[in-house]
Amino acid sequence: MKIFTTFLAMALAAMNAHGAPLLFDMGTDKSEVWSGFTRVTAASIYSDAAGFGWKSKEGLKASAKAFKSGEGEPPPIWTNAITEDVIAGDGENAFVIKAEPGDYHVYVVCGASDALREQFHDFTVAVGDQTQRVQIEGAYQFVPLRFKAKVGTGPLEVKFAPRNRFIVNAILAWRDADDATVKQDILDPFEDWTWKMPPEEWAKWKEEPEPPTGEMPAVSDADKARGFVVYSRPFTENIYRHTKPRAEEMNPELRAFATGGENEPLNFAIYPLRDLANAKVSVSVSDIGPIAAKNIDVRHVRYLRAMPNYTTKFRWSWVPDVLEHFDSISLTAQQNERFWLTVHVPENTPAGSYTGTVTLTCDGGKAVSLPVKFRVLPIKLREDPSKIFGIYYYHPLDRAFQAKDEVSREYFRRKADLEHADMAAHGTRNIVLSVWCRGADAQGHFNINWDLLTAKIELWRKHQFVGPIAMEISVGEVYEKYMKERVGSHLKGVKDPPPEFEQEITALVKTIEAERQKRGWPEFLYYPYDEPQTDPAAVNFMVKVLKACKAAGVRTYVTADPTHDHYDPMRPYVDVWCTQPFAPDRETVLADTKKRGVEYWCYPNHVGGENDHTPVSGARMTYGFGFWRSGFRVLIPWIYSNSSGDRFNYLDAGYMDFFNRQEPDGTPMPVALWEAYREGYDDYRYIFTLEELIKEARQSGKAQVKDLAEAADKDLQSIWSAIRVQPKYKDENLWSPGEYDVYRWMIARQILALQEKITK
Amino acid sequence: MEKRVLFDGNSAKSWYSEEGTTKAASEVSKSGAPTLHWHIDVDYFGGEAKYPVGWPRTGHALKGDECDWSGWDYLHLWIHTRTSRPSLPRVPAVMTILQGQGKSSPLQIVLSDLKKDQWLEVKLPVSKLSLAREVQKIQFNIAEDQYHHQDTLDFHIDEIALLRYAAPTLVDFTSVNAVVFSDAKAVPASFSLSGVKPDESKHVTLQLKRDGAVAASEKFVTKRGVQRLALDVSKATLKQGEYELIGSVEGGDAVAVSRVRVVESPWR
Repeated sequence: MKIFTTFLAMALAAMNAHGAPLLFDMGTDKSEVWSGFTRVTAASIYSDAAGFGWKSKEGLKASAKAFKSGEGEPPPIWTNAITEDVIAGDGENAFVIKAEPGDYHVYVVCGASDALREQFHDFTVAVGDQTQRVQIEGAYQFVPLRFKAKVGTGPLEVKFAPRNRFIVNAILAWRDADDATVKQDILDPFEDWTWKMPPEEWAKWKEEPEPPTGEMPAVSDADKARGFVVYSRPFTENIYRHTKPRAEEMNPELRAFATGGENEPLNFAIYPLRDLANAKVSVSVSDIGPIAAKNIDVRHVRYLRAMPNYTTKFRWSWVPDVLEHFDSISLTAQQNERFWLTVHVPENTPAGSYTGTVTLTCDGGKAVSLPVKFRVLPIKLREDPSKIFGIYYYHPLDRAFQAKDEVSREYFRRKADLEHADMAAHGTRNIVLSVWCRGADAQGHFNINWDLLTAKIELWRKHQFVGPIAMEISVGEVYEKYMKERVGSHLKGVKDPPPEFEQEITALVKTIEAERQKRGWPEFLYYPYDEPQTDPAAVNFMVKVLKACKAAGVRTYVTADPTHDHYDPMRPYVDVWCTQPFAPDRETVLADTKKRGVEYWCYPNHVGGENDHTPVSGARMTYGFGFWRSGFRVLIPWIYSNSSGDRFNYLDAGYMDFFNRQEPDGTPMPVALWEAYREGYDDYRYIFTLEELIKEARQSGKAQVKDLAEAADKDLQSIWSAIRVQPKYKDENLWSPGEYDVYRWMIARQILALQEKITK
Repeated sequence: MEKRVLFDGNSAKSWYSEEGTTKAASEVSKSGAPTLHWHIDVDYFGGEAKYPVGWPRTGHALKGDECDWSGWDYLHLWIHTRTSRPSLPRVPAVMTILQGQGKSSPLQIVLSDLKKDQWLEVKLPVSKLSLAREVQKIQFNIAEDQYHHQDTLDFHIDEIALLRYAAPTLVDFTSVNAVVFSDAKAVPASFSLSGVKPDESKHVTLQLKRDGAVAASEKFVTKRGVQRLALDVSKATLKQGEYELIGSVEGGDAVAVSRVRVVESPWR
């Protein structure tokens, strides 16, 4: 680092000789300052003599929180001199710089390194007549802003106008002549450090190879002249950065079928044959028959660096992951760019076969039109009331209740609402909730925030979620009250608590249950502890806790693998087993459900992105045909969104980030796995609709209808038999990506045939 | 099939073993040769201090030309299991192949089909290894948390060997798609071309037939190893129904057949 600093100082000295880039690092009077920058504190008020400073010190506050590389658990982010400290302000203000007249580039860094989980920042930054809005939830996210400015006789002003609070880490201004030097000596190293990692840390990390790809097929002269190949393959098959197209995939027609109300993906990719770094691509879509273009969401697949699993450090690979909106995209030679279109078919869209066009426009006038064929089916897909699609969830309303200003509260409430709507749009209508409280007070009362739980259940109802609700309760808090120590992760080292502990658990459950019944809430499944380990002490503890819950007359929920015979002592007290694989097998599940009323739920983390961001095909199989085959009642994976450190840097912090991301304003941003869940959910709805129609047809008095039912059942059975049954559908021995839609169509056409005859 | 035995019971002394023992044995054998007898007493309190409920394991490093499996088709072995338990858990043991000196993730095979008092044949296609030229180690392990304290296990591993076909053969030949739309552009096949020297090429012919009539046919030149070839059917008129995708290789005796169901296209 010392060599770099010395070089930078020399470079800046050279720049100062002809025009002086203006470099300011905001923070406290003690925090580190980036080499060659001028320190700015909350007390740095502008004066002509100083040549820089704040217009007003009113409402300004500086803070610092540095995270460095070191031994042990990685920090949430690695800060540097710019990002470790910040100046925040709650009123309008401006940073004023005395500058020679001329044209300037201005670069502003906004973010915070200190944990501010319940703080949302919403403000604008203006330079001249250009204004940019900045929205940042919490800490560890840094936003770079770029402006062009013209300085005349007056100073350069960077204006901040907060809706609630602005934050700024650094401001840089330089002239055109210094652009290349500033980029090379300051911006590139700063951006690498901030959005990747510090150079000494990065040196420890090794890139893993992409999965093997085939040979490049012959390319037409037209494609060669254009400089890129356009191709399409089923979304269930990943396209990595350097995946080669196959001959039969090139120059595609994009095709899909769907019912009214359904969302159906289309996709295609560009493989540049040569360097087209200056060729920016944009995508536009025509109406597809009666489906207006506004109902087609166009995104591109963003590649991100990911670890091989949740915790393994120092190995990474590029993975296709986030589906992101874009205006235009630069193309890099031999590096794929995949585009993902989600067609929302409005309810009541007339059935028919429609056509449309997707147009790719490239700088330089190169345009490509891809034909679209889309068939809308006259089918109303049915929901199976015996099945539930749920998900674990970090609830934004927890933050809303902790937030200190109304803008933040409004943000977290809106975020929760948008996320619930997004879940519902993906077929997910159940989340795990929790009731947190300490142990009972001296009078035996539990201090529970019912307003918070009420708000969560109101949102649940607004989006027509369905119960029962797996409800986590504060067993750990009660344990701590009696044992004077925290219980270990997965009950590691748990000790035998006194009988009063069990009595208090029963009292806690009765208290919650009474409130639930009073408010008419859905059934709660009492969820005392997550993933207990198999050792006898943990199992013994769980038996006591589960018995204590059941003494309150409720059903219980346990996340553990029921095929482990270690858990045998718990079995009489478990009403719902929630387990990662589809295990035990279907026959065992159905027999146990029939005999004892025990339910089997599945949290398929192997397709949740926790350890691998790429099992898209496994996700669809798990959610649709695999779920159908399993005998399980519920799918409830961990988790809707999980972030530690920077949300778009999956390599920082102790654990990898995974699953859905978000726009700066809190709008959900899906990952490919989430869209695969929806397609699996839709597969299941097609299956269920056909099963119901077969039942109805069999009850019909008409022989022809009964014959059709048998033909449909035969097709359905052939699909059933084609499923390669596995406890975990991930990436081995699955259907090929091209088969899913053929099987779905086999079901759809039987639905069409039966519907027509039953209604006649 | 040609065979190269990597390890049998005679190599037992050079196998490492953590939290168990590995010895030569002859009382249980599939091939008649001595087996590797891996014995474990499940112990929740012994072993590594940090992980008393740990992962007993046995394994062997590979040296010299043992490391290059690229000219072979399968890793083959038999395992017999005895235990004090009434039955084995869902994940009884795992076989791990380390490859590429950290350049690629280890290949882990969950031996979920092991059954008490029975032999299990393990036939692992070498094509599953991403770095088959750089195999470093074979290891077996159990996870003690799958078992009870004081359970006992006796695995007999018989003849760990590499196998390959002597003549050109299409191994694991299958239609990539068991079902296709009638207006599909191509019907791809996947297989591993075996019994061919590493740098040799062979003609492979794919045909799509229905009731003996050829709907499409195409000849390809290809090399040894895992292949995906797409039979062009864009000019064929496919009708709803059952077809056969047939593969044959120059110099090979047998043809390979995979069934394909053609389904009327929703867009036709």
